[in-house]
Amino acid sequence: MLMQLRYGRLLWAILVFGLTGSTHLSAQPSPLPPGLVNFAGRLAHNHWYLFGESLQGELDELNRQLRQADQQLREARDEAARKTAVQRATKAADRVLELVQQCPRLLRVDLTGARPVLRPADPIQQPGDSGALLLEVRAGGDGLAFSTSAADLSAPGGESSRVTLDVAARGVTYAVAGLDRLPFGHTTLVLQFNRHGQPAVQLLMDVVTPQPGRLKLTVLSDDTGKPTPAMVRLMWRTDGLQRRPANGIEFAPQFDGQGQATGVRAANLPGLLGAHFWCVPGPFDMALAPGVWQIGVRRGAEHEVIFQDVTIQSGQTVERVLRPRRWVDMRQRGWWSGDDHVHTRILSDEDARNVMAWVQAEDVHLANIVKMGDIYRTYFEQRGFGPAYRVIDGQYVLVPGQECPRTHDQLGHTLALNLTGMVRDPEQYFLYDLVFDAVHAQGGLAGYAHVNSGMFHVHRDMSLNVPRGKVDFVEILQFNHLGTDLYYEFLNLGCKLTASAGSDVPWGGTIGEVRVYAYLGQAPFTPDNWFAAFGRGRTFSTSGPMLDFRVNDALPGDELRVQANEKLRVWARAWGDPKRMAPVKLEIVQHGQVVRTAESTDPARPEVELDFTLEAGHGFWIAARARAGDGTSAHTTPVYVVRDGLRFWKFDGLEALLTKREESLRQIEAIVAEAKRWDAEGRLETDRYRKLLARQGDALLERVALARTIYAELKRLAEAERPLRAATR
Amino acid sequence: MQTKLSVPGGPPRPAGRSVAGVGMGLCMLLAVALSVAGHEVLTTYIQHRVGVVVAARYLDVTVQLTFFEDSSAHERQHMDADGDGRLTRAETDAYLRQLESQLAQAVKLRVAGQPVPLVPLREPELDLLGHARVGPGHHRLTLFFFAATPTNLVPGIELVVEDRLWPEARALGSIQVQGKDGYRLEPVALGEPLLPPARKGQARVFAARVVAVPLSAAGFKSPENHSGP
Repeated sequence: MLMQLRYGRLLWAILVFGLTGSTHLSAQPSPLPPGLVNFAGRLAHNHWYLFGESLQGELDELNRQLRQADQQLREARDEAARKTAVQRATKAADRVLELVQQCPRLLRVDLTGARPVLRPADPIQQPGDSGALLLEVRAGGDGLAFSTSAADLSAPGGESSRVTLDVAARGVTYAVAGLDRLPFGHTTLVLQFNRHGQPAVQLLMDVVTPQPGRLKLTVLSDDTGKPTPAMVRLMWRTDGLQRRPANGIEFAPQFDGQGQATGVRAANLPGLLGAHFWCVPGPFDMALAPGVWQIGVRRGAEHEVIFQDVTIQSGQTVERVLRPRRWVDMRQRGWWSGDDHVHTRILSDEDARNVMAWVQAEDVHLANIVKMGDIYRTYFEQRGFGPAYRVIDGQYVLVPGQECPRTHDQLGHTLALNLTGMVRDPEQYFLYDLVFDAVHAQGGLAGYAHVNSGMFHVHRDMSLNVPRGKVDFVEILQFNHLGTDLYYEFLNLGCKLTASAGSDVPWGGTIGEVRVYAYLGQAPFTPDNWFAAFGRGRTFSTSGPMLDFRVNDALPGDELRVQANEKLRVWARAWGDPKRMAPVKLEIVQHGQVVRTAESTDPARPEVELDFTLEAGHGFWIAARARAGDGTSAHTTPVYVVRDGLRFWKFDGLEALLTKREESLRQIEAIVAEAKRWDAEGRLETDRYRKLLARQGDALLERVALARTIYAELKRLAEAERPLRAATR
Repeated sequence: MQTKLSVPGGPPRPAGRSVAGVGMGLCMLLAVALSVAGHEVLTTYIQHRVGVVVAARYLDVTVQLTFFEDSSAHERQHMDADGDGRLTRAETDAYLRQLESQLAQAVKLRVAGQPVPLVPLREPELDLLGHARVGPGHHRLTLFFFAATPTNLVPGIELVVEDRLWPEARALGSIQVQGKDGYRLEPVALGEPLLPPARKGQARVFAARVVAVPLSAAGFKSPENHSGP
């Protein structure tokens, strides 16, 4: 061993100083042996098990040291800096080499003879269905190189068990080859060594995996104590990779190849919540490689997340029953969760069962399953619309809806909830108001998607139809991003809009990662009651923290009429999961401005309350907003405080608000003019959007004119209000 | 059974740099396609999720890019070296290797306005999200960097990650932060989560603020603890 270490250090000295001993001191290629840095990285992050858990930390540190030294060497501008870096690199590299040479799992391959020789020749033990080979390959002569490779034994076409490695033509190569998806039991690998300028050499090598163990996992509902669907993550600590649970649902066929078309879901949520999880419909029992496994269980925003390590032993069964604890039960407070924006095909009972399992796993009580349309076609087909096509399982409901019309370059995307039939007419596609009217005629609710981000120029159609009262709600929370700019602009104009949220699965991560709560109070949960509450605006949207908000006795969405400048009691409370959301910050927003704020101080109790009085003044909208320490947020629909004879708008900012709306209307005129011009020039034969925009342009311009009339009327109203406002407090 | 394809090597396309061969061609193709179509459809976006973890010795930066349909289709086309429509590990390895050298240049860190050199912590990972074929899908590319934890961290200081990865594509951005060993951070809210194509050389900026530092560190750093002239 001593000889080997000396050899290593000597070689380092030669290599490093030999290659860098020139006077060229500008940025230069690393003099480290080829492949060393990646080799160390693989050992530290993918194959540390070869060395045992006790050395994992040291391998990580050595990897960092090597990489920092490598960078310092590349950037060294003077001899002293280079020398320091060389010393650092040498020390780290020596230690890596020492660990490798001492590793009892090191295999030695001699390519200098007529036939390759492998020592030891016994079958090589692998930890499970993934593993690695650590090799010292001698090709004769001097030189030191490092090599990495990875083989996925399920991926090659046909029957194959080949593992290829690039090794140096001369000298010694230390190589690590990752093995993925190894069959259990005994496998003969064909190890192929590729050497530059020389024919490849093959060697047969037997590997064996231990007998797998078994995991029986049951997730219990904290409400009933019975098995429930859940979002589950299984990660083998040995390789850091997650596996699909035996009954993990593959949603890909239900996504029409759209978005993140797979069953493994990474939520747009902070930290480990954003890791990969599978939806499992119930208990499962599966074979797993022996070792330590991380089990993650998530059940939506109201439950604590469980991460637990279990040790699986060969031939033995481990049984785990996990019960994610509720940190809050919003149902008991009268609030019921929903997701207004879920795309998935439901054409069969099996499709329905899968999605039902998902909403139950995420504990979302109502999902608006939206068939999507554009000007060409539809996606995410449904069996039908209306109450007969709702899928109900206890207190969980799937309700067919639509996301259509959707125009990307023109007017934005719309959503409709609680439909009895899809509303879509390409010949009137840009006349969104007709769709909103038809949706309302069906008893449904209409709104805009993606308002949080302002995507797809949604401000344009909002400028047409929000002041006309055609729209019920807007999505202000998506992808864990609370965006309120547009929302506040229209509220400040005195337009009522309900705050909503939708995951936009499969583009979003998972159902309910953002959700909208509707207040049913004592009324039982039914889809109709939920939609009625939503329609009244009794909502708040969240990706984590919860909110309670009252102005006097008025709830979000309520109109509080006042006859004088009376004092109002404002009370709000924000709170979050004690295990992950501290601190929680609560803000009260009036006409878009924060008028009160408070932050929780106890790290174990992320909860904060505000209780104060406020003068009604001339009326306003007022809402509560929360931000949690983990990056999640929430926002209520406002309470509308309406002073008799006055609009609740932001009177002082009116001019700027109307200027913005006029700009939106001008943009609509511009895109219509452009479409007409291009159409006249015959340039739209393959662009159906603009072709139909040109055709429907006149009708759209009529709506622009109508909107201008409304805005002009609002200006007149403002002038009419001015003396009244001046005369009153 | 495994769903994650862990691959070595890795690529961004730094703005304003010479990008080798096919990579550049494809990038330009994507940029041209995007600008000609002029669509803002989500399918053309790349989601940038930046993670910052500060601990006693090291500061780790992770940049995870999720390529949505169209942007993923372009990259998948690029990965498919033999043109058979299937993406093998060898092909994805080669794809990452081809772009690897540019990755480190495309992500920068500034602490209190000063550049802090980032070092790749390990090879990037490519996850085809269970769909190993050419065509529209989603795929995820994760880049790992680190730096020695700066000694000047005090509450209020901002850490800024400058991201010049695939600047010509529209982006969805977010940042997540974590403090360990007594450090506490908070993300600085992005103005807009939707980012237009960046101009040449322009970075997408993700920022975090130091809220608390460990007592030992504070003891060392607090100016009032300094003695002498």
